[in-house]
Amino acid sequence: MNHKFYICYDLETDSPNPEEAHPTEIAAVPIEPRSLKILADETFNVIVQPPDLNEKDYFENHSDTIHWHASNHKVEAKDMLEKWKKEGVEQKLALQEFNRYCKQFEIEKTSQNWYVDPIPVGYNIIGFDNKILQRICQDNKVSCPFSFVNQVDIMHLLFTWFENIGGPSNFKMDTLREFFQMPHEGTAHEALTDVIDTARIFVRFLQFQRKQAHVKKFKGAFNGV
Amino acid sequence: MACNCDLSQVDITNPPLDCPKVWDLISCGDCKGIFQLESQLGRSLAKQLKPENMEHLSALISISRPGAMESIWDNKSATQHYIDRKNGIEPITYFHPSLENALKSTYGVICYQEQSMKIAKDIAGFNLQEADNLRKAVGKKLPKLMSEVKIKFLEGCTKQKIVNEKEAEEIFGWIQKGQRYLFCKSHGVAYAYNSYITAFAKAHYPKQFFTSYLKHSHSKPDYKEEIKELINNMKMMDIPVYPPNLTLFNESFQLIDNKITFGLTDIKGIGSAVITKLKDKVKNVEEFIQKSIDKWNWTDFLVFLSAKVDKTSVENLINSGALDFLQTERSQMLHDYWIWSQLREREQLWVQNELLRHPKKQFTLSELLQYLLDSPTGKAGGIYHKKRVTFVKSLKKIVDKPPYKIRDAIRITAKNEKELLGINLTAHKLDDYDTSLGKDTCRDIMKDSTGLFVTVVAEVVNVREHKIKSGKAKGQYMAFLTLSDQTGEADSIAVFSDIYSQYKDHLYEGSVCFFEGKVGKKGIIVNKIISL
Repeated sequence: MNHKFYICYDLETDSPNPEEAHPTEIAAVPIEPRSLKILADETFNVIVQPPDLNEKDYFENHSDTIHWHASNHKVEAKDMLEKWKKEGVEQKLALQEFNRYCKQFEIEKTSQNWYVDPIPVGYNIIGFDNKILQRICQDNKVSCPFSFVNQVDIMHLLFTWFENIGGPSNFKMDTLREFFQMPHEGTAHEALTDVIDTARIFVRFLQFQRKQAHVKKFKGAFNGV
Repeated sequence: MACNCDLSQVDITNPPLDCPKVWDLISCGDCKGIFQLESQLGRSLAKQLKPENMEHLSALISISRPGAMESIWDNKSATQHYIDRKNGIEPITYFHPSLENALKSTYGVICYQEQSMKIAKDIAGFNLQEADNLRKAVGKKLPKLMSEVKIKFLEGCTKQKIVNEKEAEEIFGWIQKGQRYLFCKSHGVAYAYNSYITAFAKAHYPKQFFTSYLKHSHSKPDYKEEIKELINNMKMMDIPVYPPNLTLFNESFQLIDNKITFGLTDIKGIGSAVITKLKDKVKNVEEFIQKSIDKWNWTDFLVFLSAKVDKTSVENLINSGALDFLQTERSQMLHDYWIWSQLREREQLWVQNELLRHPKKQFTLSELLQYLLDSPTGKAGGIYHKKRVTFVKSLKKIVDKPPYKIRDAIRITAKNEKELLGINLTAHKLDDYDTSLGKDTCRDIMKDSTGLFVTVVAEVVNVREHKIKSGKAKGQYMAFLTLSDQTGEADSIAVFSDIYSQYKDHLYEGSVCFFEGKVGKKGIIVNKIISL
């Protein structure tokens, strides 16, 4: 029976390539494991300065992504860059803060719980966010807040549910929002908004799965087959 | 129950032996810290027997032993016979009227070696020496001496003609069986006296009693468990324990201003050596800033002392509540401490000097960082290198707009206290739960004040599985639980196999559940569990 917290998190980055991208924003929201309550008053959100932000050719090298972020925030690209410079904190400090935040949700270590860290949840985190997080934690010599023993990628989760019944035309967040007709506050692709929407999808599916899952259905299922 | 003891006239080593408050304490099983009755068995038997005088107490101590409990006749142990006869549940009978003289004081149940001597004297005509040989044979379990004494006993009985041969054989048979458990009465009475004195101290001087036990808890093999049990007992008696307080500098538990205060060295990770060094450092800072520690604010501690103490000690002091006197939330102190630790020594010194220049002004951490940023960069200023300016700016951004709410979540405070102090003092896991489902508390359960049916919301502290060895449920598992809530801990919670198999997955260390059950002979029997 799971009693580890879920942390639904998202990184906004300055590149779509997980091997090179640096976060410009980190957002997270915790989910209480038994009630599946989204703890919306315990979110995490920080603007992060990419390490090379002040280099001369930064804008040129990341122009597409900066413009994309700017259009989502309905500002000019240069203003987007200014925001990162003005409000962003150094990457290492941001990671350390994220670490301290996630530590709050560690459970007590007992004979039954060896891995106490929260379970990361997110959209496409296996292919993108987790890779970036692990890389930059290593680069900054900061311990990663997740052990990744368990993790839930919503994109993969939804694929398994919809793979032969049709449904959303693709598994992009915008498509999913439209398909599920999700009302949402805030701006799409603002990290915190994305994270809360992802958390809501996750919780809904997990509640559904919990109703369906009974040990009796699975135990001995291969007996005699 | 009230008592008429005039404590100003009482010599604690020689208290009045008829204090109703003391007998009540023992009779309700509140025996933690009471000599010879601390164990679960001792508590349970004290509750059943309800001793009213030293005779009862001496017998209780004598029969609360495995030998007495394993000595069975008429389907009951010697212990149970004594308890039932004292409480009028079973009639007092004597195998032979001649035994009444020796066994009257113990309701016809042989409890003491001296009683076997008296019996031998009364019915076999033994003199004192011969009776003492019998006592030796019984007490030291000497088979050769026993068989010699037996022959003399039977011969003596034949001569005295008080009992016949068959009766004599039977009586000697009991005495022989009794060698497994018969206690020396002088020993029993001496123990009983010590038990009474400790119970008297507990009843009349509870704060001093508990402070003393807490202070000496380190002599126990598992002292953390001992501290937990003592504090849980104190909760039952409405005696609060206060978190550690650095201003008091008490290394171990102490009664200060009539308050029992946690010792600083009882915080995990903080030993005597740390406290000794800390005392010196605090003294130096007090002289430096011309303020005694009880007048410090959080900024004083952070700026002038925190860097002189190792990180683990500072964090443990914060998380255990030892710095609560600084009137700042623990999570805020931890966060500020982390920010402060990012500054270099030079930068910290610069900030210290600013504080010293304005001793009466209260600075926030943000203001101090701003002051640092406003100072010249380079040799003449606080920040030496330009690159550090960006870093310190980042620190200030985090202080001004923290990425998450910094506040003391109950869950975290409770977890930290449990880890560092071994017990929750100011917050409990259940504070985050709606406990209104349960009408009872763990304290009600331990005090037997629940009524026949029990409902309680509690945290599972321990699950002890037990495989059933006989009966219909042979081979199945049942469990005994220890539960905890804000009022203390309750044990003797039984979950029989049919219920246990249904709810096993919900019962693990740390789970919070609603329990419904009824009061059984030896505790609560659970019949419904809802995981919360």
